[in-house]
Amino acid sequence: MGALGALSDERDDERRLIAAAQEDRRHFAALYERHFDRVYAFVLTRSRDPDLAEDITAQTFHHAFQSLESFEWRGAPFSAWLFRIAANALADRGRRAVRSEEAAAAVPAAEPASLPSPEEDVGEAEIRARLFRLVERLPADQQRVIRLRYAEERSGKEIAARLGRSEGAIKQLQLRALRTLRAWMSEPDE
Amino acid sequence: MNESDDRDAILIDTIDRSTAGGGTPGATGDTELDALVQLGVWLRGAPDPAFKRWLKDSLIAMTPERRALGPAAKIGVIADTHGCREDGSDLPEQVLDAFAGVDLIVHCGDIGNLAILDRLETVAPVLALRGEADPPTADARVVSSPHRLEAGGVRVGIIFDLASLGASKSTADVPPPERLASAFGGPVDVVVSAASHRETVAARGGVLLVNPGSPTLPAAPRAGELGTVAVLDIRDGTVVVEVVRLRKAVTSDE
Repeated sequence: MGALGALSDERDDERRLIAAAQEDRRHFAALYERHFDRVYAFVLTRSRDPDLAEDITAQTFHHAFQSLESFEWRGAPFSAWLFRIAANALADRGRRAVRSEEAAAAVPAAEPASLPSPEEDVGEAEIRARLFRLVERLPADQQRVIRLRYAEERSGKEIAARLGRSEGAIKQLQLRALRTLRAWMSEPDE
Repeated sequence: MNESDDRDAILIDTIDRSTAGGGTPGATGDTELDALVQLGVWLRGAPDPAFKRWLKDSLIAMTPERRALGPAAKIGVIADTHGCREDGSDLPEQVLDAFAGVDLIVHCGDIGNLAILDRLETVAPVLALRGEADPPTADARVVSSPHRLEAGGVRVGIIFDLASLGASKSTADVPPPERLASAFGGPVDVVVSAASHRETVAARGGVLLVNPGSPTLPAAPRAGELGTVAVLDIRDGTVVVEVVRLRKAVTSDE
């Protein structure tokens, strides 16, 4: 099957999932599993703040869950709708932060800081989302090292102490994991 | 240490220095190193799997069926079905009879074939936990263990194996309240669990422990019986537990 055929199948599949979730909210979990990494990666790419990324991701999915009836299929991917909700939530958070700082400093009102358009971040977010999914395929010990090193930003020494291994072993696990991820990333997406 | 180990150690030190602190890494001219540094940058802030599970559970808790558990609720509890048949027909019909009229069915894990849940769902909405023998699934009815729900003013903790919290496998033992609260994300009045295939109802340390046993593979089978399930009748903050002993069907030539 050609790439266009695969894309069409994927869209049909997504359309069916959306219709099923609109009919019965318990099916929303399938949409969630499919899009969680994308939404989280999109917010992280824009904010560079993992705590904020969790907050906005939760807000986005709760909003999407409650507003699913209003979603109309017009051919655009479901993720575009989720990204728009996330971008609005982020902008709203930014405006509130500006207002709060203004109140604290009692300075004249200012325009909220402008954000790049969501489209500018989608490409990078898609790469990140794919990477996050691939991490889940790594052997358990390599996954733990990658999460501790990059998600929690622990030092090699701390990771070694926590996992009861030598620092040298942790470095080897980290390098093997990165090399595996690099190889997987260079293959076409499934 | 050989040359290859030396290079690996240098690579990882350079990646760590380049990715630390959030700055954009500069190209070093070493293709492999630059690619690995970039991966490190993209991995920063990777999502916590516990957060992903929590968010999914919180969404499932918003479904109309779950919100419908009001001031009074009857919950059918089942576990350890280990279904093998594609159509779920190894779930005895007697289970469906026992759960007639319940508001929710909770399967505490070791489901086996998910068609078991399809058959249970013909009676009432189903919430299921993944047991030790169950593979990962994206099925919307299956949530991660442990899980907590509230019904009729009672907080019910659901877990596949209570022994995973340090309780003894052989007795109706209960972990300390703070351990339970930490595991379930808040205090609980009732803990429903599976794994032992042995029906249990016991009050320990202010917590009611319920294990429905197994309707298909009981640990201590009795003559004339298939196995057991349980029904929790929750009303105004009180819980009445009934262990339902499923009778074997009597055939015409018996």
